[in-house]
Amino acid sequence: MFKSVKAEEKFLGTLIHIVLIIGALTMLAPFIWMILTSFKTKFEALDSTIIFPARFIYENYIIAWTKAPFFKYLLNTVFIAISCTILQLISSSLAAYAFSHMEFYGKEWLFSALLATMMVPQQVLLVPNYFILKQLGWLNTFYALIVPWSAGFFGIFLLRQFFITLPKDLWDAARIDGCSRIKFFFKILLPLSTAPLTTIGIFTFVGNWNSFLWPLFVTNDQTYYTLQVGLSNFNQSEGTEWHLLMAASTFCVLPLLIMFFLAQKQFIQGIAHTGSKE
Amino acid sequence: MALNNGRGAAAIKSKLFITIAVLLTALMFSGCVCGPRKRGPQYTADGRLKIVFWHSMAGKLGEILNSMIDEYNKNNKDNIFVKTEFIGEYATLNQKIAAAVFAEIPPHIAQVYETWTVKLKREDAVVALDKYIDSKEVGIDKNDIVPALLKNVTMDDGKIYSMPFNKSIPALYYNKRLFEAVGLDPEKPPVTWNDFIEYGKKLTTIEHKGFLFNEYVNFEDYEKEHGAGSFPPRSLKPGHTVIWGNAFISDPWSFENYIFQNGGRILSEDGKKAVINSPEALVAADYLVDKMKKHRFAMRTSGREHQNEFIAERVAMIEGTIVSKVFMQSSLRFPFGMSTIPYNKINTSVLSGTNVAVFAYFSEAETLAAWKFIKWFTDTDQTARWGIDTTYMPVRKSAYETEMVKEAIKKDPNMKVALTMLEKIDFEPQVAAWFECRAILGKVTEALVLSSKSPKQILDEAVVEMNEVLELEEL
Repeated sequence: MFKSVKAEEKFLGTLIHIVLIIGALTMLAPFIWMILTSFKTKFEALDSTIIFPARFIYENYIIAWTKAPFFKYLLNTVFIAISCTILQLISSSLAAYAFSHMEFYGKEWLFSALLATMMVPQQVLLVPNYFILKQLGWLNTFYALIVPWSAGFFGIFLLRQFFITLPKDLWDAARIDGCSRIKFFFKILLPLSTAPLTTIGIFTFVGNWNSFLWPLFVTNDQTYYTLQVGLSNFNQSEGTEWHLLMAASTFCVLPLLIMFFLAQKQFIQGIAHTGSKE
Repeated sequence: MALNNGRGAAAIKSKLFITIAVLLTALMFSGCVCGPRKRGPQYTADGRLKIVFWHSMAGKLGEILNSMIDEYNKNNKDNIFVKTEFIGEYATLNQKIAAAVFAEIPPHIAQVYETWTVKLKREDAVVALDKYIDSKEVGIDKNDIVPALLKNVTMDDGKIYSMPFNKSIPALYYNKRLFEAVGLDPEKPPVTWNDFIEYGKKLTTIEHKGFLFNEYVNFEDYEKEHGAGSFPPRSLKPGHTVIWGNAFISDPWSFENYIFQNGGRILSEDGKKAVINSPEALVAADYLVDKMKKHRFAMRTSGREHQNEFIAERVAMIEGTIVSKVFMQSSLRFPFGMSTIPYNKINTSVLSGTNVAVFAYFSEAETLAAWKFIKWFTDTDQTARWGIDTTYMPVRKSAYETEMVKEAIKKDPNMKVALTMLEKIDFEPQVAAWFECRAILGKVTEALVLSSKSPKQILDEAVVEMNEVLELEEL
């Protein structure tokens, strides 16, 4: 069918690209819709047949930004997301190290127990967690927003899977050379794991950035509100101000986008790593 | 030697590590040891008693509420400071109240639906307000509360645990311009179900460059030409649009209204059995689906899409709450009318919206302060103002007699819907399991529109399901 292998490769390449472009457009469409809507008038935003605004209304951004103290919410969100990410990285890498490189009593059992926590939906934990935080006196503090999310099984699982794929020889060689466990962790394991660490970092960061129900639940005070909680202000019981909500959503998602572009390479590597097992 | 050194350093490091771990753990549990913080009355910096109020009034409604409360905080002589806290949607508010009551740290006041009140009362989490209502010093004239609203907040033990706060009823919104275009009198909205069906058919038209082509009113002719199920056409040549008679959402509230309007009930008198498979309810179910399936003038939407379609003039009539007016009117570019929703046998509407309750766990002084605020808010002048600004129903009879309200109705006749229904309001059953029953009713309305099962079958199944829920709650 094809004159040469090269022609066939070219054809397949084009085909793959077409599929990818269609996929990319599908993913981009809601995004573009959001941005276009953010420049519309209230009336245009409500009419689903209008795609492009007649005139780009930048005031939506100003109105949305001043509707609530969004700068404060932004700082809160950044602080919470960064803290959670750092704590999560520390806790998961240490736990994963123990699960992959150490032998101790009840290891398998503990691991299964942790695995089980992944199956419990957040809604079920809402009230018990709330109660624990109340007992700790942490409601309406940054502790409530950070500590419960500073460890998670997803990160442990991801890193453990990665750690056990690393050649055992590394460990043996290091031990023979007199490397301590903790030194092996910091000097060898972690530098090799930038990709999965970045992945966990991004997942945790994005997860915390987008989390809505929890911050709304454990805080009553604007002092601790996050961006997502601020966004809920545009959602009224009798109708949503879409043009403002979309403008606010756009500036809320912007920092994430920037971060993704910066860490894109590691992100993709990280995903690729977790999927394969040499 | 080098080997030994390495080990020594490692040992120190791991010891350090364990110490840090222990310290961190200790820090985490230190809160536990100290125990929960006891909460006495809290005061503002200038010594005023702080009353916390959880609400779900977002956007414009929230702004109106806050501006009224700001005024109260400035002017009240009882040294009370009301702090509002916006908790998001009603569903979130419900969850958060549940958690807060469980943890024994509720706010002083919160918006609650009647069914929440039933549950909260069972937990002894809310205070009976009768003591204050009937008191000589801080009481109010109970007879001045709109009777239906009073009945609505009176629980089965005859006591009142909440005061009506933001109550609404459904209304029919219609586009006067489109009425005129098809030769209907814009001052005569449909009154009965039959009117509604007739109007709906007349209003379903094809528009081209501002002209309405009504020749397809008899959709059977259209379908003969274009095939069965082709009317109303979904896509037309550019420059053409279809105008629908009605857009609706299949939500439980509409169905409740139709059942009551046709003389049916949802639960039996004692609230123990579901009766939504009665002949009256079946007729109501038919009314709900026929406008779409049989008469083809209504389009089914979800969320608030029906409002958007109405705003965009693609739909001539919609049913919504009287409060949608606040949200829609700034976007409406055509004259619109509001009336009570069409009925069949009984002219009635089902009440919606929340009340405010005062929670237990607080000192007498705080509870009294909370009551004083509620009294102020539901007093004639304030409830009249709240009603005018938000279009929620004023809760006092005397409010409808004020110049303020009379003036507002004169200026905007659409404001009178609540007033005309005042004596005819009905409400949802007040049983603890109502929340779950309402969810079943929601599924029923979905199924009526989407499922291929017969309405009778759907309703029979729902009765079984509801009875199970009701029995479970009895245990």
